[in-house]
Amino acid sequence: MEAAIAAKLDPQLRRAASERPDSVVGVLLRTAAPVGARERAALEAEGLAVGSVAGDIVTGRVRAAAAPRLARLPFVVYVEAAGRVYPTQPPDTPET
Amino acid sequence: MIRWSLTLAALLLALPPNFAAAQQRPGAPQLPPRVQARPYVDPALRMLLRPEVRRAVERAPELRRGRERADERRRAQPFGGGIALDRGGASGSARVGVLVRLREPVPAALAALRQAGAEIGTVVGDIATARVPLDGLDRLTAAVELERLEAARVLEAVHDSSLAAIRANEVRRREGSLWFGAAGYGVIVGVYDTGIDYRHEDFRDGTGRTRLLGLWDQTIAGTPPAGYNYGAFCTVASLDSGRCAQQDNNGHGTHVAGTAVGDGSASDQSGNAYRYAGVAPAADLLVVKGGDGSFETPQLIDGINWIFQTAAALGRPAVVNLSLGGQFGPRDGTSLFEQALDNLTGPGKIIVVAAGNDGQNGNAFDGSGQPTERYLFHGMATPGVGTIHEFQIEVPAYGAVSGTCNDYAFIELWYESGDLLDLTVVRPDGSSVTATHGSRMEEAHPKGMILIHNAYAERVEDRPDPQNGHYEALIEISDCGNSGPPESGIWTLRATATTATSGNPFHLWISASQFGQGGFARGVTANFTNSHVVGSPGTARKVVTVGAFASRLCWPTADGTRCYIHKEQPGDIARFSSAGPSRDGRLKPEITAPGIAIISALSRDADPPGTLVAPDGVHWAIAGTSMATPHVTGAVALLLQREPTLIPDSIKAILQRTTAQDEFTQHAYTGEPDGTPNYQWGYGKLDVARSLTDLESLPPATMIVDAGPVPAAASSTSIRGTRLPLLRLHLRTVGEETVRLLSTGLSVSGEDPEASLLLIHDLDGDAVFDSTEPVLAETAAEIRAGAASTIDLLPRGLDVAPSDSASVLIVLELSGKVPNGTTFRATYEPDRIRTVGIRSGANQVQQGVESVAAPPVQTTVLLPGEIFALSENPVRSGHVVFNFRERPRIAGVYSLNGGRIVDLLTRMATDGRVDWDLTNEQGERVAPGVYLVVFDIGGELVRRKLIIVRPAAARKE
Repeated sequence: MEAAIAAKLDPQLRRAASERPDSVVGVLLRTAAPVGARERAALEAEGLAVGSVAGDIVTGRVRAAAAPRLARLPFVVYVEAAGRVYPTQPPDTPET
Repeated sequence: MIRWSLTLAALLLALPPNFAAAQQRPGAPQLPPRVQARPYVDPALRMLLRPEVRRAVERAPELRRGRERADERRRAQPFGGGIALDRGGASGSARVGVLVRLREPVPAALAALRQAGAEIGTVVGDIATARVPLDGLDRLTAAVELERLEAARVLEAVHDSSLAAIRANEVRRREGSLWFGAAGYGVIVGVYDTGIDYRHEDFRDGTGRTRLLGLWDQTIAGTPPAGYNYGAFCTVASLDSGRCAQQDNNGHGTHVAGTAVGDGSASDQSGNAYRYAGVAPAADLLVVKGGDGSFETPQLIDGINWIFQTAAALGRPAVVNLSLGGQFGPRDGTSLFEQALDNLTGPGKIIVVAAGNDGQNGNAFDGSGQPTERYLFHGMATPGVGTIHEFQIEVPAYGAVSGTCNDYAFIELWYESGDLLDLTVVRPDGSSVTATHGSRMEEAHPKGMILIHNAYAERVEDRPDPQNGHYEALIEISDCGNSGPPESGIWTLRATATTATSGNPFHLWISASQFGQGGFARGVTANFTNSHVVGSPGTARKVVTVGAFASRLCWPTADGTRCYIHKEQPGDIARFSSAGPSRDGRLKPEITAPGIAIISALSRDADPPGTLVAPDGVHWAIAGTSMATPHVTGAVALLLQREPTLIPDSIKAILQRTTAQDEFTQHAYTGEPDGTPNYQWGYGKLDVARSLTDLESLPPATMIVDAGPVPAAASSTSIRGTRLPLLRLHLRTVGEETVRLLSTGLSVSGEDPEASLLLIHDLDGDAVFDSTEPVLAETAAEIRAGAASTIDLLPRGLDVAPSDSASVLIVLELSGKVPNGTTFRATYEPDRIRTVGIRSGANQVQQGVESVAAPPVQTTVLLPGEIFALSENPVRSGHVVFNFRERPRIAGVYSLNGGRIVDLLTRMATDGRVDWDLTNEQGERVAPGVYLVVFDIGGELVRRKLIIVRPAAARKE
C-alpha cells in the first residue's frame, strides 16, 4: 500500500484490508468538500454503499479490500473504521 | 380515584348540552345584587348540585377505595386529579371536600358553613377547609357569607420518584389521558437503541393509536426508509395494526423510550395508571433499532440522520436519545464518528448521550458494609525525557475459557505530537516486549501473547492521527494464536519518553477486558484515576452528556420491595457514573439525572428476572447512565416545545444555569477539589421546572444588522431582465431565541416605474446571487425620476437562530423598458427594519456598530466596461434575455457550422434588449446544443458561445 494512501486510512482499516480483505466493514469518510452527485458516484464506483451524508462526513459499508481505493480518491481526506458502541447499562444489577 | 374521576367525567358529559352554558352566559344581563352576593362556585362542584349526579356518587362502590388510596399517597402533585369525596357523613353518606373563602365577619361565615352540615377543618385567615355532605351543597351555594367555594382535589401520586427528583412532575398536569403544560407537544423524540415494544400501551395515545411516527429496524431485511438501502421501515399503519416485525428482545430501548416519552397508561389494569409516565409524555416518537446488544457507528449516524431528516420534513424539532457508548477513539471530539454527530446537530436538532458506566463512587458500600471494590482503568502521566512511567495492571485469577482469543485485555494509549514514547509490556513472570515509537511488535508466549502497535506507520509523517495530530498506540494481551492464556497477576506497562515537549499528559485506557467468566483487568497503581472515562460519543463537542445519580436504591415488585446490594448515599453520584473530562479537557458530563432503580416500560419480548418487574407487570427497574439520559432527553423535548429552534449551545447554557446543587454535587470522586462544576457531576442535577422557568425569563434576543454595498462583480441579468444587486445585509442573532426578520426597507432613486425589488437569501454568503438561492421577498418598485422611492420588503420565513447569522441581498430587477445606462441609487433605511423574537414576541433590533447604514450604492444596467450580458448561459428556462450596451450593428445567433438561426435585430423590442424565445426565423424551436452569439458594437465583432440545454417549451413567466 502506498504510504500516501495508508496515511488516509485508520490503522484498523489498514489491518482489515490486508488481513481480511473480503470482509465488509462499516466506514466513516471525511471529504474535502460537501459531497455532490459526482463525488457520491465516485465513492459508489469504488464499492461504497453510501449510508448518509452529515456535512463533510459520509457513512457507508465497503469490502475491506476496497478501502484503499476509497482513500485514493482525491476528495477523500480520511477513512475511519466503524466503532462499536453498547447500551450504557451495567452488565449486572445485584439485588436483595 | 382515577376510575372514580372518570366516572364523574362521564356523568358530566351525559348532562344536557345547555347545562354548562346556563352557568355562565356571555352577555347575560346583570343579576340583582342579592343573587350577585352568592359565592362563586367551582364548576366541579356545580355538577354535584344535580340530584342525578349526587345519586350516582352515593351509589358508587369505588368511592371508599379511591379515598383510601388517596390517603396513602405520600407526596402531592400541584396539579389536580379528581374531586375529594368520602363516606364520612351520617350513615356513611358521601361528603365532598371544599376550600372556602369567607366574607367578613368570619364567625358568621363559619356559622353558615356549619348550618350546611359542613365539618370545618382548618381556618387560615379568610380561608377554611371543610367537608360538606352532598345534600348540604345547595345551602352553601346560596350562603351570602361565603365568597368562593372550591372543590378540594385529590392530588395524584408523583409518577415516579425519579420524576420528582428532577421536578418534571411540576410542569404538567393530566386530565384523563390528556396532558397539559410542558409535556413535549409538537416535539419528536428519537431513540436509537435495541428497538421498542411499540405495542406497549405507554406508547399509544388515549384512543389506542401508536405515538410512533415511524420505526426503522436496521437489523432485518425489508423495505428500507427512503434514501437508505438496508433494514426495514415500519409505517404508522403497520405499527397501529401490530404488523411491524420489529421486536425489542433486549428491553433496553423500550425502557429508555419509556423514561423519555412513555405516558404510563399501561398500568391501567393495575389501577395505578400513569405512575410511571415519562418526562415528555405528549411528545411523538421515532425509533431506530440498531442491534440487540451493540451498534455500529456508521449505522448509528444513518439512524440519527434519518430521525432529523424525518423531523425536518414534518417541520418539527427533534431530540435524539443515545443511551449507549464505547471506550474507543481519541476521546477529544475529533473522531469522524463524533464529528458526524456534531454535524447533525443544529437549531431544533439536539443529541443527548450517556456518559457511560465506567466510573466509581468512593463512598459506596456493599451488603456487608464494605466499600465497593474499585475498578480503575484509566491511567495518565506527563512524560519527561528519561523518566519511566510504570502502570501496573492486575489480571485476576481466572479459569481460562477454552479456545483462543477469548481471554484478553485491550489497552489504548494516546500521546501528543510533541512527545515520542517507547512502550514495554512486562508479564508477571518478568518476560517483556518493547515497541519503540512508530513500530509494531508481536510475541506469542505460553503466558499470554503481547501485541503492541505504537503509532505504527512506515513514514514518520503518517504516524500521527490526521484528525488531531496525536499518536495512538494499541496494546493487546491475549490468548490469540499459539499463545497460552494471559498469566494472572500484575502486568506492567512502561512508557519511556525519548522526546517530551508537549507538556501535556498521555492517557491510557484498559478499554476492554475479559478473563474467564466475568473477570476484568484493572489498574492498581496511583497513576490510574477515576477521571477521563466518559465514553464515545459522550466526548463529542455538541452533544449533551449525562451522568447518573441515585434518587433511590429500591423499587417495588409484586413480592415486595427490592434493593441493590451495593449502595450509594441516596442523592449521591451513581457508583458507575463515568466522570470526565474529555481528553482535551472539556467538561463532560455536563449534567446528571436519576439513574438507579428507574422504573419504565417493559418490552413484552424481553425476559428480565421477576425481581426487577414492577407490580403492574408492564414496567421494570434497571440502572445505568442509560436510564439517566432519557430524563435529560425528555427535558430537552420540553424546552423545544417552548422554543423549537434552540441550538445545542443554548440548551447546554440553560441546563447549566438551572441545575440543582446540594452537598453531593460539590464532591467528585476524581481527586479534584470540591465545588461545581466538576468532572463527576458537570454543573449538577437536572431541574426541569427551573430550566423551563429560565427559558421563559430569558431576555428577548437581539438581531444585529450590518448593511453594506454589494461588490460590483455580482451584477447579472435574469430571464426577466437585468438584476442589479443594491445592498447586502448581514443579520445575526445575539441571545437565546430565534429572531425572525419581518421587514426591511430602503429608498431607491433612478427611473423604472415597473421594476421589482427582491430579497434573496445569500446562502453561501458570497454576495453573489445565483439561481439556487431562494427569493425571500418580492415587491413592485415604482421608481420615478426626481424622487427617491421608499420600499419595504417583507420576507417569507427568514429566521435566524441563536448565535447564528444570515446574509441577504437586496436586488433590483428592472422591467426591461428603461434605457441602458440608467443609474440607480439605493440607501438602506435602518429605521424601517422590523424583527420579532419567536419565543418572546419582542420586536427588537439593533444596528451593527461598524456600519450603521450602508453608503448609497450606485450602479448601472451594464457595469462600466461591459457591452453585453446574458440572463443565463447555459439556457435552461426556455428563453434568454440579451442586454447590449447599445443597439448593435449586427446581432444574431448562429449554429457552429455558420448557419444563422435568428437575426436578433429583428426581435429587439427596446434599445439593446432582446428577449429570445429560442425559436428560429421560421418560428420553430431550436434544438438543444451549442450555438454562437455574434454581434458588432462600435466596430468590435464579438463572438460568444451560447449553450441551450432545454428548448422553448419550458418557459415560465
